[in-house]
Amino acid sequence: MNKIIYLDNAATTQVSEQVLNEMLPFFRQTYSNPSAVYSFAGEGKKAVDYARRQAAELIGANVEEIYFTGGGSESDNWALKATAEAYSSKGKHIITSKIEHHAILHTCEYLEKQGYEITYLDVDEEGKISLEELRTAIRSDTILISVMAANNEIGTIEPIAEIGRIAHEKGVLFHTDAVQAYGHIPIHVDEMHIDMLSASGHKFNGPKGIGILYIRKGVKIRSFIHGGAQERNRRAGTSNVPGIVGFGKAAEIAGKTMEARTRKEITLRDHLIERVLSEIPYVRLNGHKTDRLPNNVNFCFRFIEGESLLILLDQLGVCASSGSACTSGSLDPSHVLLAIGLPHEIAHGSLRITLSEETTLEDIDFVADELKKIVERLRDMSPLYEDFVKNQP
Amino acid sequence: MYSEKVMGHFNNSRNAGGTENPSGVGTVGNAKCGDIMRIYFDIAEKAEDEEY
Repeated sequence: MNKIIYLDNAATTQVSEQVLNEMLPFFRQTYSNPSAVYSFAGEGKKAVDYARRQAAELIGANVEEIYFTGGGSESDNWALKATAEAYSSKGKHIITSKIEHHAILHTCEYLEKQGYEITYLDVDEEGKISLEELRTAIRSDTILISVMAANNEIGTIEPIAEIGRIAHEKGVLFHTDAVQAYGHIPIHVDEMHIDMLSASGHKFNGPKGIGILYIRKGVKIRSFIHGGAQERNRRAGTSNVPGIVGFGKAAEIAGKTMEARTRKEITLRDHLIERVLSEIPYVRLNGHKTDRLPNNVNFCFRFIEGESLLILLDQLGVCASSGSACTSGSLDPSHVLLAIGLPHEIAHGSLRITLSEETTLEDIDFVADELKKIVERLRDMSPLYEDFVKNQP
Repeated sequence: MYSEKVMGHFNNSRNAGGTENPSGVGTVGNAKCGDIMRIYFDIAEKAEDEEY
């Protein structure tokens, strides 16, 4: 097996050594349940409180506005379902976008079955929602706007500060799914008028199975997981102390390293984009050129299929991902690529490469060199390419 | 994800590519769902007494 070049950091990241070391004592030494009365429990409680502060500081939130959950999907579900329930006397209309993660979209579909009405905002060819369309969509019975901070597939960063301002002008709550953005781009809940925000530990070198929902003080939201009195009575279940400690430490590190780390990632990202666009014909960059996550690259290669690209890259030890159909068991390509206006046959040729702090220039050049060969090889056996060449004047 | 046999063909394609002046060509699949295959026939001699 070749050396692994892991370029699927939007799927998940490696837990950093510092984070792991911070977590380890909470498995065997300080394993107490932080809700207990005896002093042995005190250490765990202190650690949870400290992690909550670390998680809050990264987004300018107050400590008591951070609630630990089982991950990003739970946070999204909680934010939408519980708000829908709590504000149903005001109205049953929710606004979101067509390019949200399935944790939002499938929750919206569930809510539609419960009698809620959902408006799915279109996006432009670069993946951004229109603020004008948002304004027009808001009605007197609109209770919530949920738009992601940055897209997980094409990396486009949404204008969340403007969305938040519009939401607050109209007296509507604003939730943002920041799973891809938290720890990667600057977010400030007050400056961006965010009422609720979802984030997940494993997207920024923290552990899996731990997330947060930021809930602004004063937002009426009922508990979603019922049981004990943990998380200020709003999210039951024994605190995942090692996970919480890991989340906090990862958030602290992400905040401290954000500037230097993302500057490096952007340089490598743009180098890869530049090389592929100039050296491989019939390829397009998906997502916004500059308003995009520092570590995200997403292309569509015409006439070939993303899945075969992934298999050939895998044989070289390169881990990447695609919005192609077969991996998801559906014949339709990614809803995000369709929403930016790509036809099915082009959307099937997508490749997502997501970098990390560890990614090197050598890795990127290796991938660009190999991609050239792989794309050429796959096009050689593609009937679509054959037709295209034949029909060229 | 795929069987060894499928991967074997993918990595070492047999009978792949077109031919000059084929007797017939057939295309199956749909670019919309991402899978498409084209088959070229090249029949050397016409069998004269074959019954259908």
